[in-house]
Amino acid sequence: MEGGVMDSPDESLIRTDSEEIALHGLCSPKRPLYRFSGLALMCLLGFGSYFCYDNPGALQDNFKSDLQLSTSRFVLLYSIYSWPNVIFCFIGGFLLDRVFGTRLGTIIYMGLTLIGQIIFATGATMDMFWLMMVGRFVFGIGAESLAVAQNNYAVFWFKGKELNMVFGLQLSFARVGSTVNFLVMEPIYNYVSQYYKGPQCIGVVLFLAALTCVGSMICACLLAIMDKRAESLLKRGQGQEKEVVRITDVKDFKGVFWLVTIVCIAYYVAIFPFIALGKVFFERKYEYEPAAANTVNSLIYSISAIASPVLGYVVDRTGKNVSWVFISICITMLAHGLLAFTYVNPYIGMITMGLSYSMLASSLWPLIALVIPEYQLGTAYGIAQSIQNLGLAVVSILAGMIVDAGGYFMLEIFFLGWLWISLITTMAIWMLDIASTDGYLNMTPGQREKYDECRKTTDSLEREKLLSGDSTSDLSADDLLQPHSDIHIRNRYLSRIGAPLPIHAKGPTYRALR
Amino acid sequence: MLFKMFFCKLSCIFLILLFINVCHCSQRVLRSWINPNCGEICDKKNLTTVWLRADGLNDTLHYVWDFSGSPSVLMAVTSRSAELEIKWEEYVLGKSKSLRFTETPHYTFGIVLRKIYEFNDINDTGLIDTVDASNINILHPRSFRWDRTFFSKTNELVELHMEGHDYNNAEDKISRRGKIKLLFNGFCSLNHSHITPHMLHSENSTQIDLIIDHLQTNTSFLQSRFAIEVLLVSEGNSNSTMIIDGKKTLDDEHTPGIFEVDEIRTPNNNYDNGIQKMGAYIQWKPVSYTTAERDVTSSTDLIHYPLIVSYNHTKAMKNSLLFAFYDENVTQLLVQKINVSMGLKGDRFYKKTNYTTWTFIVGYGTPPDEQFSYLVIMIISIGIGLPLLIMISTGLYLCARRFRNQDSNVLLNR
Repeated sequence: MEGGVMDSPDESLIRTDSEEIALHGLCSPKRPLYRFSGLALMCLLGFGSYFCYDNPGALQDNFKSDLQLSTSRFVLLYSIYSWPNVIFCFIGGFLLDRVFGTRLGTIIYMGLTLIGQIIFATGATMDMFWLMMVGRFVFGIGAESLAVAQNNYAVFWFKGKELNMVFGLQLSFARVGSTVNFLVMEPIYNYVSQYYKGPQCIGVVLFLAALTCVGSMICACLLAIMDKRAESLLKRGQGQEKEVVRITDVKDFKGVFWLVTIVCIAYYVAIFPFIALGKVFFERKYEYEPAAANTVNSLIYSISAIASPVLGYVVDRTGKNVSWVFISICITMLAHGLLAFTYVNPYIGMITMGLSYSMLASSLWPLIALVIPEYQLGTAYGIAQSIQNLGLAVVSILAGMIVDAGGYFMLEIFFLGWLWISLITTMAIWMLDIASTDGYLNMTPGQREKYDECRKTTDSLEREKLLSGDSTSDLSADDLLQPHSDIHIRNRYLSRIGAPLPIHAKGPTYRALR
Repeated sequence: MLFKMFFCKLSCIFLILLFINVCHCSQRVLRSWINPNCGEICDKKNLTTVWLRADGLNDTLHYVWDFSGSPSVLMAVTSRSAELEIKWEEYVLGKSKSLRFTETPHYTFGIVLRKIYEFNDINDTGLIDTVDASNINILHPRSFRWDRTFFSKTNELVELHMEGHDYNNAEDKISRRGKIKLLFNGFCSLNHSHITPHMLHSENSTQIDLIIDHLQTNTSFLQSRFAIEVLLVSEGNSNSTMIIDGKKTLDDEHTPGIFEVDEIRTPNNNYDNGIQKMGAYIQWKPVSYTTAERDVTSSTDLIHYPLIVSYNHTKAMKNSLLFAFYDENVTQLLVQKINVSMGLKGDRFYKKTNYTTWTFIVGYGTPPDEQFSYLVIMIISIGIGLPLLIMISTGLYLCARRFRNQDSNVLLNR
């Protein structure tokens, strides 16, 4: 996880005079100004990829008519983005940690994103579908791994400070990228279509969109320079041991985690593939003009851009995550129901969906952090994201086929089915949680604190028991039931030979035993 | 145990559905003849006049699909004993009253595909009424050479395929290569047609599917589109008017991407003895397919224009079956025309695929209402039923456990 630890020379532990001056100057990495300009760059870093990701969605009609794509083929442009990331999400993050380091990794991934978009645009210009697919493939690898890198940056710069807000803002800004895309692409297309026709027109528009990636590339470089400077001045990461996560940890993940993953899939497949096909749905069912259809369709993004940080704050204060998830899913079902079974103004349905979606995003993802120890979080989130990508890829293809064969009404029924699955799964999480940890996940933050304290007390009690040397008390019922991690066994060994336990071993830090 | 019960229920539902399906096809029995009692005259002249009778319990619906003049359909409602009589010698000459039923029909309705317009959509609006006369060509469907390419009949379904080719009109000196196809279907029950857009038809309706297939366009028109003029003739007060109406649907399951049904209904007239008499309707979905595959992506809009009243009945019906049927002097006849154009702004015109369609239903009575399909109903009922079942069974289980606990407590307390 630590960006440039290996590069740091030992002698830099002693500060030179010039560094001393730099630390107290206007551009000191310690000052908020430095950090928040870094934050701005971090947000802009993702702008290009999010802007370009939904280019086909914003121009769905034009794509289909100018390049003569069927709905199923059109949706392939999204699947080829998601499919590789079922694996590459993992690999990208892994390479970032082990090989590239965050700075170089970010630039490499940003470069891949940019190159992908350029290939995509070239393919469109020449009306070669396979080349467009190649472009989206490269773009996808770059963009998803870039998101991991973005998170890394946020953790390095804001850990223990404003990290939650920063995550929220990054998500918001990603949504801003998508929203701007939906609002801007149609006018740009109309403008360009005065000069170019057919595939060339699409190509030119996509090349213009690639400019946002160039902008993000510049941000990536600036951020790398700032990060390098901050690292060398603040001596970040020095004197710490390198922590390594192993793939085999996955098998010890709790049942609740896997259920949360199922909710991730089942819920998100009812949102993203819907947005991908939504524009034409609004044009057909509600007879909206293309531009107006885009606006309604992008409402979910615009709302989540505003609501995510706010609702995130609400969840932070109130806790009760499972209840929030449950309520969000119910409201989303209501929203989809309004769109499927009524002619009520689609703005109502989409605003409802946007709010419930933001609420779900704020309450669902922290669940993983509550059931998985901190040192495994990256892996856990990686798995969730990868499996979610798998779900999105499969469902996107299915959704296209359903529209072609059974129409948009069946598509809505299909999405409602998925939401139904996520609702049932949430109920399962609720029950499992009550049964296994007295409803820890659905506690308020205050209750959780108390619970944690109590647990600490029982832990220390057990330790005392262990240290008392009563060998038969060694195997409590709890011990027999729970699988032991290496660290658990080592700590017990240390306790028994009377060696002092390392202070951090009580906490959730991890060290590989090799 | 629970699952067993669930599957039992499910299979019950299936059986009921199956039963409904089987029961369906006995509402009318179809019988049909090509050129009934005609003989040599028709063979010589390559005529096609199909008489289809759909016998119900109380009445008979007659359809005559005719290609001796402009393609026309006559629909008549009679008692079960009525027969069709055609005086073929007069009929081929287009004389009036050469076609009649042995009993006076309760109600008659007819349509004629009178004209095909080819218009040069210079401003790419998709609308024929924005184009001036110099950019419109009129083609008369009767000037095609009509061949019967397919005919099949059972008691449940009658299907006729006609192909018009080698257009040649001596008056206008216009000749065209390419063809137009007309597919006629007669039905015995309420169901969806097998031809996309899968219109919902009842036993009281017939479907007409028009395809303009690689018809040569006017070489001086660069942005050709086609439009059809249809003449609608209904018995009834000539001062009333037919009603044109667009209905929104929720369900586009049968016609993906199309959420509207357009229809024209004849005014319902009061009969002499005060009983409301049923009228006719024609119904279509505002979609035209541009390839033979007929999927959502290869479709364009079908635009209809306001109804026009036609006062000169004779002129309007000339050269069609309806002229041969309706007495020239009938005053109680409502004659109206409607234009329908195929194409939408920005769809790159007819020349893009050289294929365009219009599918519509002609029926008697009120148009049937679209209902959710069994699949949808089943999904919804499982969606609502299963969680309820889980909740109820959990509730019962908890109750039972508490009850048992109480029981054992009672024993302990003793």
